Amino acid sequence: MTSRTLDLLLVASVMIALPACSGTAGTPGTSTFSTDYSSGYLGSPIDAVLQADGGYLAQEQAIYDFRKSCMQDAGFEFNAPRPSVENLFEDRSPRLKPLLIDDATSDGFRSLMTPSDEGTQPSVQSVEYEANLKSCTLAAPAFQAVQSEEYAAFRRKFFEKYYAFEARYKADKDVAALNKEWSSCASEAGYESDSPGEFLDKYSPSDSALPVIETERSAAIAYASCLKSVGYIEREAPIRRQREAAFVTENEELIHEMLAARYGG
Amino acid sequence: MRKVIVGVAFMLGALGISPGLQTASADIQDCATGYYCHYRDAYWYGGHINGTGNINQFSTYGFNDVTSSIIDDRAFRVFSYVDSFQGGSSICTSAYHFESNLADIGFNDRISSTAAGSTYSTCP
Repeated sequence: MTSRTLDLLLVASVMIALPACSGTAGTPGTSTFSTDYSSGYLGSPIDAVLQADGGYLAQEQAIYDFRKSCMQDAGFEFNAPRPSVENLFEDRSPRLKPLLIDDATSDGFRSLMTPSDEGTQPSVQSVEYEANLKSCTLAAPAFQAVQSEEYAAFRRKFFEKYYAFEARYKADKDVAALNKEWSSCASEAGYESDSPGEFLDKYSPSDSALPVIETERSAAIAYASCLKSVGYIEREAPIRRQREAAFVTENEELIHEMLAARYGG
Repeated sequence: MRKVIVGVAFMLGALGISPGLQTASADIQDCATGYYCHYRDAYWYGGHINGTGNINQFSTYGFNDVTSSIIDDRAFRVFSYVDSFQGGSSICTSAYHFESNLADIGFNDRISSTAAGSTYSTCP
């Protein structure tokens, strides 16, 4: 492991601990990134090693500053939050969110739902605003740096490796054993499901605007109960982290080259 | 087909849209600036759904596990997840970028939900 990759992993371990305000920084490649998965948040070593590079935050802040100034010059307000370490994980919802049995009993699956425009009445700004924002973003020198051919080539190669990793992970014996327990629990409750994700696809409401009905509550209670009895989130998270950390180690040279192509150094 | 792709690639370039992982489109005019769009077929064919914020369940729109290409014509990145409610593996598309064929990166016909932020523009 190079010192740069080690540095990134150590920074990543600290950043991972931030959202949950718990967890301990530790040796990369082990499950010591964090031990508290109660929020359902998975501190992904792959995500973290990519985002932990100081160049990423600096690049995003440079894009932000350029377009804010550009928008103001054009007579528009730009009120988006400035990228920071605190909001680095703004979009990364948990891989698998916990569902409390009390919530399942009262509201079915609804507490799992994030705010959604559901593709119907999006809150876009005026056409002029969006057009200006696009021009201001594309003109930002830091934004253009993301589009270099060298970086694109490395990123593509990285995704090829990542795809292979995902295929391996799906077939992982520890994950398969966990899913077998899940399937058995769901079956005892009267549901056919290979995994929690598949359960949600099958039994959660297709339209969140519809009122909660008894069949949804029953399915949600089964889902919450099996998550708890199998200990799915707490057991799957360290497996995932361990496998991802190994992936980072295996591909450290490619990651190093990819990050260097984007941020220099 | 190749002519169409090259032509559409040119059109995308003219519009300022860049490849997330590589190449080009057709229904580009249907994905308005300020939206992200998920298309049923590669190279932006076959109809699409669009959004500006999160979409929890593509199944609501008959679009579960059918996405083959993506355009993000918003000022912010969008994550596309293989499970509903932003669960499972995800692929990130940067602002004003596109994915022409998700089969190339193992995500074809797997997308079930999205998370669209309003702070970060690019994918890490």
